[in-house]
Amino acid sequence: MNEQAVHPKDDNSMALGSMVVGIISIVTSCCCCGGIILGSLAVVLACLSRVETYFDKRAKTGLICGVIGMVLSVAAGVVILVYLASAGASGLAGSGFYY
Amino acid sequence: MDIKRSDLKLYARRALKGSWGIMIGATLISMGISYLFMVALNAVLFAALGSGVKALAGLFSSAAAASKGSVSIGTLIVILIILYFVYLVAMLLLSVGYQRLYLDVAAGQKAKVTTLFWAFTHSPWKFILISVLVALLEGITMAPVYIMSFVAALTGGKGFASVFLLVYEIILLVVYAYVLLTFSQFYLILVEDPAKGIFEALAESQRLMKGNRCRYFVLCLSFFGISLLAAFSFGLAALWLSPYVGCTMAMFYLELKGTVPDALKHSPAETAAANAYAGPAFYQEQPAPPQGVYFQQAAPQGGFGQPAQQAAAQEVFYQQAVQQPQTDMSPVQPQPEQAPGMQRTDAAQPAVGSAVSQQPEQAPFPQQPSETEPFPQPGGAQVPQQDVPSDKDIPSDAPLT
Repeated sequence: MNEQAVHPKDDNSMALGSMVVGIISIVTSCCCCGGIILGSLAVVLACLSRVETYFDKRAKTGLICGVIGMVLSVAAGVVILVYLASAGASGLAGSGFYY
Repeated sequence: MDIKRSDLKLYARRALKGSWGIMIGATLISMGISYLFMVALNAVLFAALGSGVKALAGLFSSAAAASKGSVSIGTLIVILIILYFVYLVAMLLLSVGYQRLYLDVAAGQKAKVTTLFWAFTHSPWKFILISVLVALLEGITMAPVYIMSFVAALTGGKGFASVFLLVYEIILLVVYAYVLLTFSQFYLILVEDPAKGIFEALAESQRLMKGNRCRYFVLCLSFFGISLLAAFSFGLAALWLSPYVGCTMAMFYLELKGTVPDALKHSPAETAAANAYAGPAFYQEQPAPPQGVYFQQAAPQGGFGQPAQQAAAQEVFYQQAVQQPQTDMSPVQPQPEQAPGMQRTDAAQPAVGSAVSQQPEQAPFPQQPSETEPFPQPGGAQVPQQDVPSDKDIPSDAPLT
Protein backbone atom coordinates (compact mmCIF):
# COMPACT_ATOMS: atom_id res chain seq x y z
CA MET A 1 0.00 0.00 0.00
CA ASN A 2 2.76 2.35 0.97
CA GLU A 3 4.73 1.53 -2.10
CA GLN A 4 1.71 2.48 -4.11
CA ALA A 5 1.55 5.71 -2.20
CA VAL A 6 5.10 6.56 -3.18
CA HIS A 7 4.46 5.33 -6.71
CA PRO A 8 0.73 5.83 -6.96
CA LYS A 9 -1.19 3.35 -9.03
CA ASP A 10 -1.79 4.79 -12.45
CA ASP A 11 -5.53 5.19 -12.75
CA ASN A 12 -5.53 7.14 -15.95
CA SER A 13 -8.57 5.45 -17.46
CA MET A 14 -8.71 7.96 -20.28
CA ALA A 15 -5.28 6.84 -21.48
CA LEU A 16 -6.49 3.26 -21.40
CA GLY A 17 -9.61 4.26 -23.34
CA SER A 18 -7.46 6.04 -25.88
CA MET A 19 -5.36 2.92 -26.40
CA VAL A 20 -8.41 0.68 -26.80
CA VAL A 21 -10.14 3.05 -29.21
CA GLY A 22 -6.90 3.51 -31.15
CA ILE A 23 -6.48 -0.24 -31.60
CA ILE A 24 -10.11 -0.60 -32.68
CA SER A 25 -9.58 2.24 -35.15
CA ILE A 26 -6.82 0.27 -36.85
CA VAL A 27 -9.04 -2.81 -37.02
CA THR A 28 -11.95 -0.88 -38.46
CA SER A 29 -9.91 1.37 -40.72
CA CYS A 30 -11.00 -0.50 -43.82
CA CYS A 31 -14.72 -0.13 -43.32
CA CYS A 32 -17.11 2.78 -43.10
CA CYS A 33 -14.66 5.46 -41.99
CA GLY A 34 -14.23 3.65 -38.68
CA GLY A 35 -10.57 4.52 -38.72
CA ILE A 36 -11.21 8.22 -39.06
CA ILE A 37 -13.97 8.41 -36.44
CA LEU A 38 -12.32 6.22 -33.83
CA GLY A 39 -8.80 7.33 -34.73
CA SER A 40 -9.59 10.98 -34.16
CA LEU A 41 -11.39 10.06 -30.95
CA ALA A 42 -8.32 8.14 -29.80
CA VAL A 43 -6.07 11.10 -30.54
CA VAL A 44 -8.36 13.48 -28.66
CA LEU A 45 -8.58 11.15 -25.66
CA ALA A 46 -4.82 10.71 -25.65
CA CYS A 47 -4.30 14.47 -25.65
CA LEU A 48 -6.81 14.98 -22.85
CA SER A 49 -5.40 12.20 -20.71
CA ARG A 50 -2.08 13.94 -20.11
CA VAL A 51 -2.12 15.22 -16.54
CA GLU A 52 1.59 14.84 -15.95
CA THR A 53 4.30 16.69 -17.79
CA TYR A 54 4.83 13.61 -19.92
CA PHE A 55 2.59 11.29 -21.90
CA ASP A 56 1.34 8.07 -20.34
CA LYS A 57 2.60 5.03 -22.24
CA ARG A 58 -0.94 3.90 -22.99
CA ALA A 59 -1.86 7.38 -24.16
CA LYS A 60 1.15 7.37 -26.44
CA THR A 61 0.08 3.99 -27.80
CA GLY A 62 -3.45 5.29 -28.33
CA LEU A 63 -2.14 8.39 -30.07
CA ILE A 64 0.03 6.39 -32.45
CA CYS A 65 -2.67 3.79 -33.10
CA GLY A 66 -5.23 6.53 -33.71
CA VAL A 67 -3.02 8.28 -36.23
CA ILE A 68 -2.26 4.97 -37.95
CA GLY A 69 -5.98 4.17 -38.02
CA MET A 70 -6.79 7.52 -39.59
CA VAL A 71 -4.03 7.20 -42.19
CA LEU A 72 -5.07 3.65 -43.04
CA SER A 73 -8.67 4.73 -43.32
CA VAL A 74 -7.81 7.54 -45.71
CA ALA A 75 -5.57 5.20 -47.70
CA ALA A 76 -8.33 2.60 -47.84
CA GLY A 77 -10.76 5.25 -49.04
CA VAL A 78 -8.37 6.37 -51.76
CA VAL A 79 -7.78 2.78 -52.88
CA ILE A 80 -11.51 2.09 -53.00
CA LEU A 81 -12.14 5.28 -54.98
CA VAL A 82 -9.36 4.48 -57.44
CA TYR A 83 -10.64 0.94 -57.82
CA LEU A 84 -14.20 2.12 -58.40
CA ALA A 85 -13.01 4.73 -60.87
CA SER A 86 -10.92 2.23 -62.80
CA ALA A 87 -13.72 -0.32 -62.73
CA GLY A 88 -16.17 2.30 -63.94
CA ALA A 89 -13.83 3.42 -66.70
CA SER A 90 -13.20 -0.14 -67.87
CA GLY A 91 -16.93 -0.82 -67.72
CA LEU A 92 -17.66 2.22 -69.84
CA ALA A 93 -14.89 1.29 -72.25
CA GLY A 94 -16.27 -2.23 -72.53
CA SER A 95 -19.72 -0.90 -73.25
CA GLY A 96 -18.41 1.15 -76.17
CA PHE A 97 -18.99 4.54 -74.55
CA TYR A 98 -16.45 7.16 -75.63
CA TYR A 99 -16.23 10.86 -75.04
CA MET B 1 3.66 36.41 -13.86
CA ASP B 2 1.27 35.04 -16.42
CA ILE B 3 0.74 31.33 -16.55
CA LYS B 4 1.64 29.79 -19.89
CA ARG B 5 -1.15 28.67 -22.18
CA SER B 6 0.00 25.05 -22.11
CA ASP B 7 0.08 25.14 -18.31
CA LEU B 8 -3.46 26.48 -18.18
CA LYS B 9 -4.57 23.53 -20.29
CA LEU B 10 -2.59 21.14 -18.13
CA TYR B 11 -4.25 22.52 -15.00
CA ALA B 12 -7.64 22.16 -16.66
CA ARG B 13 -6.95 18.52 -17.45
CA ARG B 14 -5.79 17.94 -13.89
CA ALA B 15 -8.91 19.60 -12.54
CA LEU B 16 -11.08 17.46 -14.78
CA LYS B 17 -9.37 14.23 -13.78
CA GLY B 18 -11.96 12.22 -11.90
CA SER B 19 -14.81 14.47 -13.04
CA TRP B 20 -15.09 13.44 -16.67
CA GLY B 21 -18.04 11.17 -15.98
CA ILE B 22 -20.00 13.94 -14.30
CA MET B 23 -19.18 16.43 -17.04
CA ILE B 24 -20.20 14.02 -19.79
CA GLY B 25 -23.29 13.06 -17.80
CA ALA B 26 -24.22 16.73 -17.50
CA THR B 27 -23.81 17.13 -21.25
CA LEU B 28 -26.00 14.09 -21.91
CA ILE B 29 -28.66 15.36 -19.51
CA SER B 30 -28.65 18.71 -21.25
CA MET B 31 -28.90 16.99 -24.62
CA GLY B 32 -31.75 14.83 -23.32
CA ILE B 33 -33.68 17.87 -22.08
CA SER B 34 -33.12 19.60 -25.40
CA TYR B 35 -34.30 16.47 -27.22
CA LEU B 36 -37.47 16.27 -25.13
CA PHE B 37 -38.23 19.90 -25.87
CA MET B 38 -37.69 19.32 -29.58
CA VAL B 39 -40.01 16.32 -29.51
CA ALA B 40 -42.69 18.36 -27.74
CA LEU B 41 -42.23 21.26 -30.14
CA ASN B 42 -42.50 18.96 -33.15
CA ALA B 43 -45.61 17.30 -31.71
CA VAL B 44 -47.32 20.64 -31.20
CA LEU B 45 -46.19 21.83 -34.62
CA PHE B 46 -47.60 18.78 -36.36
CA ALA B 47 -50.81 19.06 -34.34
CA ALA B 48 -51.09 22.69 -35.44
CA LEU B 49 -50.48 21.68 -39.06
CA GLY B 50 -53.07 18.92 -38.77
CA SER B 51 -55.54 21.32 -37.24
CA GLY B 52 -54.83 23.78 -40.02
CA VAL B 53 -55.41 21.14 -42.66
CA LYS B 54 -58.67 20.17 -40.98
CA ALA B 55 -59.73 23.80 -40.85
CA LEU B 56 -58.94 24.18 -44.54
CA ALA B 57 -60.86 21.03 -45.31
CA GLY B 58 -63.78 22.38 -43.30
CA LEU B 59 -63.92 25.41 -45.55
CA PHE B 60 -64.72 23.25 -48.55
CA SER B 61 -66.70 20.45 -46.98
CA SER B 62 -69.10 20.77 -44.08
CA ALA B 63 -68.90 17.02 -43.51
CA ALA B 64 -65.20 17.14 -42.95
CA ALA B 65 -65.42 20.01 -40.52
CA ALA B 66 -63.23 19.93 -37.48
CA SER B 67 -64.58 17.58 -34.90
CA LYS B 68 -65.89 18.96 -31.66
CA GLY B 69 -63.46 19.08 -28.79
CA SER B 70 -60.32 19.33 -30.90
CA VAL B 71 -57.88 22.08 -30.04
CA SER B 72 -58.07 25.05 -32.32
CA ILE B 73 -55.09 26.08 -34.43
CA GLY B 74 -54.81 29.40 -32.60
CA THR B 75 -54.39 27.66 -29.26
CA LEU B 76 -51.80 25.33 -30.71
CA ILE B 77 -49.80 28.24 -32.12
CA VAL B 78 -49.88 29.98 -28.74
CA ILE B 79 -48.71 26.74 -27.06
CA LEU B 80 -45.99 26.43 -29.69
CA ILE B 81 -44.70 29.95 -29.07
CA ILE B 82 -44.78 29.55 -25.27
CA LEU B 83 -43.05 26.19 -25.50
CA TYR B 84 -40.38 27.64 -27.75
CA PHE B 85 -39.66 30.46 -25.30
CA VAL B 86 -39.55 28.01 -22.40
CA TYR B 87 -37.09 25.96 -24.43
CA LEU B 88 -34.89 29.00 -25.07
CA VAL B 89 -34.93 30.02 -21.41
CA ALA B 90 -34.17 26.48 -20.24
CA MET B 91 -31.24 26.17 -22.63
CA LEU B 92 -29.94 29.57 -21.56
CA LEU B 93 -30.08 28.70 -17.86
CA LEU B 94 -28.52 25.31 -18.52
CA SER B 95 -25.64 27.01 -20.33
CA VAL B 96 -25.15 29.28 -17.32
CA GLY B 97 -25.19 26.18 -15.14
CA TYR B 98 -22.46 24.77 -17.36
CA GLN B 99 -20.34 27.83 -16.73
CA ARG B 100 -20.81 27.37 -13.00
CA LEU B 101 -19.87 23.70 -13.31
CA TYR B 102 -16.70 24.57 -15.20
CA LEU B 103 -15.83 27.22 -12.64
CA ASP B 104 -16.37 24.79 -9.78
CA VAL B 105 -14.17 22.16 -11.38
CA ALA B 106 -11.46 24.67 -12.23
CA ALA B 107 -11.50 25.97 -8.66
CA GLY B 108 -10.85 22.45 -7.42
CA GLN B 109 -14.30 21.87 -5.99
CA LYS B 110 -16.22 18.67 -6.36
CA ALA B 111 -18.30 18.56 -9.51
CA LYS B 112 -21.99 17.79 -9.13
CA VAL B 113 -24.55 17.18 -11.82
CA THR B 114 -27.06 19.29 -9.89
CA THR B 115 -24.86 22.34 -10.54
CA LEU B 116 -26.19 22.16 -14.08
CA PHE B 117 -29.47 23.56 -12.73
CA TRP B 118 -27.76 26.16 -10.58
CA ALA B 119 -29.01 29.14 -12.60
CA PHE B 120 -32.64 28.12 -12.08
CA THR B 121 -32.32 29.11 -8.43
CA HIS B 122 -29.70 31.88 -8.58
CA SER B 123 -30.84 35.11 -10.22
CA PRO B 124 -32.42 33.49 -13.28
CA TRP B 125 -34.13 36.72 -14.28
CA LYS B 126 -30.82 38.52 -14.40
CA PHE B 127 -29.40 36.05 -16.90
CA ILE B 128 -32.60 36.15 -18.94
CA LEU B 129 -32.51 39.94 -18.96
CA ILE B 130 -28.88 39.94 -20.06
CA SER B 131 -29.65 37.57 -22.91
CA VAL B 132 -32.58 39.70 -24.04
CA LEU B 133 -30.41 42.83 -23.95
CA VAL B 134 -27.62 41.12 -25.87
CA ALA B 135 -30.10 39.87 -28.47
CA LEU B 136 -31.57 43.37 -28.80
CA LEU B 137 -28.11 44.88 -29.19
CA GLU B 138 -27.23 42.35 -31.85
CA GLY B 139 -30.50 43.02 -33.62
CA ILE B 140 -29.92 46.78 -33.62
CA THR B 141 -26.35 46.49 -34.90
CA MET B 142 -27.35 43.96 -37.55
CA ALA B 143 -30.43 45.85 -38.72
CA PRO B 144 -28.49 47.98 -41.27
CA VAL B 145 -27.03 44.77 -42.70
CA TYR B 146 -30.47 43.26 -43.25
CA ILE B 147 -31.87 46.48 -44.73
CA MET B 148 -28.93 47.07 -47.03
CA SER B 149 -28.87 43.43 -48.09
CA PHE B 150 -32.49 43.81 -49.16
CA VAL B 151 -31.67 47.02 -51.01
CA ALA B 152 -28.62 45.40 -52.64
CA ALA B 153 -30.76 42.48 -53.75
CA LEU B 154 -33.24 44.91 -55.32
CA THR B 155 -30.50 46.82 -57.11
CA GLY B 156 -28.77 43.71 -58.35
CA GLY B 157 -25.72 43.98 -56.12
CA LYS B 158 -24.56 47.29 -57.52
CA GLY B 159 -24.34 50.77 -56.11
CA PHE B 160 -24.05 52.30 -52.68
CA ALA B 161 -25.74 49.44 -50.79
CA SER B 162 -23.05 46.91 -51.65
CA VAL B 163 -20.18 49.22 -50.70
CA PHE B 164 -21.94 50.15 -47.48
CA LEU B 165 -22.47 46.48 -46.64
CA LEU B 166 -18.82 45.66 -47.17
CA VAL B 167 -17.50 48.56 -45.09
CA TYR B 168 -20.11 48.15 -42.37
CA GLU B 169 -19.47 44.43 -41.97
CA ILE B 170 -15.73 44.96 -41.67
CA ILE B 171 -16.23 47.64 -39.03
CA LEU B 172 -18.76 45.45 -37.26
CA LEU B 173 -16.33 42.52 -37.23
CA VAL B 174 -13.59 44.61 -35.62
CA VAL B 175 -15.95 46.13 -33.06
CA TYR B 176 -17.48 42.74 -32.27
CA ALA B 177 -14.06 41.18 -31.76
CA TYR B 178 -12.98 43.99 -29.44
CA VAL B 179 -16.20 43.94 -27.43
CA LEU B 180 -16.31 40.15 -27.18
CA LEU B 181 -12.70 39.99 -26.01
CA THR B 182 -13.11 42.86 -23.56
CA PHE B 183 -16.24 41.47 -21.96
CA SER B 184 -15.36 37.80 -22.35
CA GLN B 185 -15.22 37.29 -18.57
CA PHE B 186 -18.59 38.94 -17.99
CA TYR B 187 -20.59 35.74 -17.64
CA LEU B 188 -18.00 34.05 -15.45
CA ILE B 189 -17.93 37.05 -13.11
CA LEU B 190 -21.68 36.96 -12.76
CA VAL B 191 -21.73 33.20 -12.40
CA GLU B 192 -19.15 33.37 -9.65
CA ASP B 193 -21.04 36.10 -7.82
CA PRO B 194 -24.63 36.54 -9.01
CA ALA B 195 -25.11 39.39 -6.54
CA LYS B 196 -22.94 41.64 -8.67
CA GLY B 197 -24.62 44.17 -10.90
CA ILE B 198 -24.46 43.99 -14.66
CA PHE B 199 -22.41 47.16 -15.07
CA GLU B 200 -20.14 46.15 -12.21
CA ALA B 201 -19.44 42.85 -13.94
CA LEU B 202 -18.82 44.63 -17.23
CA ALA B 203 -16.33 46.99 -15.58
CA GLU B 204 -14.57 44.13 -13.84
CA SER B 205 -14.31 42.16 -17.06
CA GLN B 206 -12.82 45.19 -18.77
CA ARG B 207 -10.32 45.59 -15.96
CA LEU B 208 -9.35 41.92 -15.98
CA MET B 209 -8.93 41.75 -19.74
CA LYS B 210 -6.79 44.85 -20.00
CA GLY B 211 -3.57 43.66 -21.60
CA ASN B 212 -4.85 40.10 -21.83
CA ARG B 213 -7.05 40.29 -24.91
CA CYS B 214 -4.37 38.89 -27.18
CA ARG B 215 -3.66 36.03 -24.79
CA TYR B 216 -7.33 35.14 -24.66
CA PHE B 217 -7.63 35.32 -28.44
CA VAL B 218 -4.64 33.05 -28.93
CA LEU B 219 -5.98 30.69 -26.27
CA CYS B 220 -9.26 30.45 -28.16
CA LEU B 221 -7.42 29.88 -31.43
CA SER B 222 -5.30 27.15 -29.89
CA PHE B 223 -8.32 24.87 -29.69
CA PHE B 224 -8.78 24.91 -33.45
CA GLY B 225 -6.71 21.79 -34.11
CA ILE B 226 -8.31 19.59 -31.52
CA SER B 227 -11.75 20.88 -32.53
CA LEU B 228 -11.01 19.81 -36.08
CA LEU B 229 -10.12 16.35 -34.80
CA ALA B 230 -13.35 16.28 -32.81
CA ALA B 231 -15.25 17.16 -35.98
CA PHE B 232 -13.65 14.14 -37.69
CA SER B 233 -15.12 11.96 -34.98
CA PHE B 234 -18.60 13.16 -35.97
CA GLY B 235 -18.95 15.08 -32.72
CA LEU B 236 -18.26 12.11 -30.49
CA ALA B 237 -15.09 13.67 -29.12
CA ALA B 238 -17.00 16.87 -28.35
CA LEU B 239 -18.33 15.14 -25.24
CA TRP B 240 -14.80 15.37 -23.82
CA LEU B 241 -13.65 18.45 -25.66
CA SER B 242 -16.43 20.75 -24.51
CA PRO B 243 -15.68 20.40 -20.76
CA TYR B 244 -11.98 20.71 -21.52
CA VAL B 245 -12.41 23.99 -23.37
CA GLY B 246 -14.83 25.31 -20.76
CA CYS B 247 -12.53 24.42 -17.90
CA THR B 248 -9.54 26.00 -19.62
CA MET B 249 -11.50 29.21 -20.06
CA ALA B 250 -12.52 29.09 -16.40
CA MET B 251 -8.89 28.47 -15.50
CA PHE B 252 -7.92 31.53 -17.54
CA TYR B 253 -10.44 33.53 -15.54
CA LEU B 254 -9.02 32.23 -12.27
CA GLU B 255 -5.55 33.08 -13.50
CA LEU B 256 -6.63 36.64 -14.25
CA LYS B 257 -7.92 36.85 -10.70
CA GLY B 258 -4.84 35.12 -9.31
CA THR B 259 -6.82 32.33 -7.69
CA VAL B 260 -5.64 29.26 -9.58
CA PRO B 261 -5.68 26.39 -7.04
CA ASP B 262 -2.18 25.53 -5.91
CA ALA B 263 -3.03 21.85 -5.85
CA LEU B 264 -3.22 21.86 -9.65
CA LYS B 265 0.27 23.24 -10.03
CA HIS B 266 1.75 19.92 -8.95
CA SER B 267 0.94 16.72 -10.76
CA PRO B 268 -1.08 14.02 -8.95
CA ALA B 269 2.00 11.80 -8.77
CA GLU B 270 4.08 14.56 -7.23
CA THR B 271 1.41 15.35 -4.66
CA ALA B 272 0.92 11.70 -3.72
CA ALA B 273 4.65 11.12 -3.44
CA ALA B 274 5.13 14.22 -1.33
CA ASN B 275 2.26 13.27 0.96
CA ALA B 276 3.63 9.78 1.41
CA TYR B 277 7.19 10.89 1.74
CA ALA B 278 7.08 13.70 4.22
CA GLY B 279 3.58 13.63 5.59
CA PRO B 280 4.34 12.46 9.16
CA ALA B 281 7.34 14.72 9.60
CA PHE B 282 5.32 17.58 8.22
CA TYR B 283 2.68 17.15 10.85
CA GLN B 284 5.14 16.72 13.67
CA GLU B 285 7.27 19.73 12.96
CA GLN B 286 4.58 22.31 12.74
CA PRO B 287 4.55 25.00 15.34
CA ALA B 288 1.41 25.32 17.30
CA PRO B 289 -1.48 26.97 15.55
CA PRO B 290 -2.97 30.12 16.93
CA GLN B 291 -6.31 28.93 18.26
CA GLY B 292 -5.95 25.87 16.09
CA VAL B 293 -6.85 27.76 12.94
CA TYR B 294 -3.62 27.82 11.06
CA PHE B 295 -2.97 24.13 11.32
CA GLN B 296 -6.33 23.42 9.78
CA GLN B 297 -5.51 25.64 6.86
CA ALA B 298 -2.02 24.30 6.30
CA ALA B 299 -2.81 20.62 6.59
CA PRO B 300 -3.10 18.95 3.21
CA GLN B 301 -6.53 17.64 2.42
CA GLY B 302 -6.61 15.50 -0.67
CA GLY B 303 -3.59 17.38 -1.89
CA PHE B 304 -3.24 20.88 -0.58
CA GLY B 305 -5.50 23.61 0.55
CA GLN B 306 -7.45 25.54 -2.00
CA PRO B 307 -7.41 29.17 -0.83
CA ALA B 308 -4.70 31.38 -2.18
CA GLN B 309 -3.37 32.30 1.23
CA GLN B 310 -2.04 28.77 1.61
CA ALA B 311 0.42 29.11 -1.23
CA ALA B 312 3.29 30.00 1.07
CA ALA B 313 2.46 27.16 3.42
CA GLN B 314 2.34 24.71 0.54
CA GLU B 315 5.68 25.74 -0.86
CA VAL B 316 7.25 25.41 2.56
CA PHE B 317 5.70 21.98 2.85
CA TYR B 318 7.20 20.86 -0.42
CA GLN B 319 10.53 22.20 0.64
CA GLN B 320 10.30 20.36 3.91
CA ALA B 321 9.22 17.22 2.13
CA VAL B 322 12.55 17.00 0.39
CA GLN B 323 14.60 18.31 3.25
CA GLN B 324 13.76 15.50 5.62
CA PRO B 325 16.68 13.13 6.33
CA GLN B 326 15.77 10.05 4.38
CA THR B 327 16.99 7.63 6.97
CA ASP B 328 14.96 9.12 9.76
CA MET B 329 11.45 9.26 8.48
CA SER B 330 9.88 7.16 11.15
CA PRO B 331 7.28 8.80 13.35
CA VAL B 332 8.89 11.20 15.72
CA GLN B 333 8.03 10.99 19.35
CA PRO B 334 6.70 14.08 21.05
CA GLN B 335 9.48 16.41 22.02
CA PRO B 336 9.39 18.60 25.09
CA GLU B 337 9.61 21.79 23.06
CA GLN B 338 7.02 20.61 20.63
CA ALA B 339 3.69 22.25 20.84
CA PRO B 340 0.99 20.06 22.30
CA GLY B 341 -1.95 19.10 20.19
CA MET B 342 0.07 18.65 17.01
CA GLN B 343 0.65 14.90 17.13
CA ARG B 344 -0.88 12.95 14.36
CA THR B 345 -2.36 9.97 16.10
CA ASP B 346 -4.16 8.24 13.29
CA ALA B 347 -3.18 4.76 12.19
CA ALA B 348 -1.72 5.82 8.86
CA GLN B 349 1.20 7.61 10.39
CA PRO B 350 3.51 4.68 11.22
CA ALA B 351 2.71 2.92 7.96
CA VAL B 352 3.59 5.89 5.82
CA GLY B 353 6.72 6.59 7.76
CA SER B 354 7.90 3.02 7.44
CA ALA B 355 7.20 3.04 3.72
CA VAL B 356 9.37 6.03 3.23
CA SER B 357 12.16 4.57 5.22
CA GLN B 358 12.04 1.44 3.08
CA GLN B 359 12.64 3.40 -0.09
CA PRO B 360 15.00 6.16 0.74
CA GLU B 361 16.39 6.48 -2.75
CA GLN B 362 13.09 7.51 -4.29
CA ALA B 363 12.85 11.11 -3.33
CA PRO B 364 9.95 12.82 -5.10
CA PHE B 365 11.90 16.02 -5.68
CA PRO B 366 15.56 15.97 -6.64
CA GLN B 367 16.60 18.94 -4.58
CA GLN B 368 19.56 19.41 -2.34
CA PRO B 369 18.74 18.64 1.24
CA SER B 370 19.44 21.29 3.79
CA GLU B 371 18.93 21.71 7.45
CA THR B 372 15.40 21.41 8.60
CA GLU B 373 13.91 24.72 9.42
CA PRO B 374 10.95 25.32 11.61
CA PHE B 375 7.72 25.77 9.78
CA PRO B 376 7.29 29.50 9.28
CA GLN B 377 4.08 31.36 9.74
CA PRO B 378 2.77 33.42 6.84
CA GLY B 379 3.82 36.97 7.42
CA GLY B 380 6.28 35.93 10.06
CA ALA B 381 3.70 35.95 12.83
CA GLN B 382 4.84 34.59 16.14
CA VAL B 383 2.86 31.78 17.64
CA PRO B 384 1.34 32.55 21.01
CA GLN B 385 2.20 29.44 22.97
CA GLN B 386 -0.17 30.18 25.79
CA ASP B 387 -3.16 29.88 23.45
CA VAL B 388 -2.28 26.43 22.25
CA PRO B 389 -4.86 23.83 23.21
CA SER B 390 -3.73 20.82 25.11
CA ASP B 391 -3.96 17.21 24.02
CA LYS B 392 -7.01 16.73 26.13
CA ASP B 393 -8.86 19.37 24.17
CA ILE B 394 -8.43 17.56 20.89
CA PRO B 395 -9.70 14.01 20.57
CA SER B 396 -7.29 11.57 19.03
CA ASP B 397 -9.69 10.60 16.27
CA ALA B 398 -10.54 14.16 15.37
CA PRO B 399 -10.13 15.02 11.69
CA LEU B 400 -7.05 17.02 10.93
CA THR B 401 -8.72 19.38 8.54
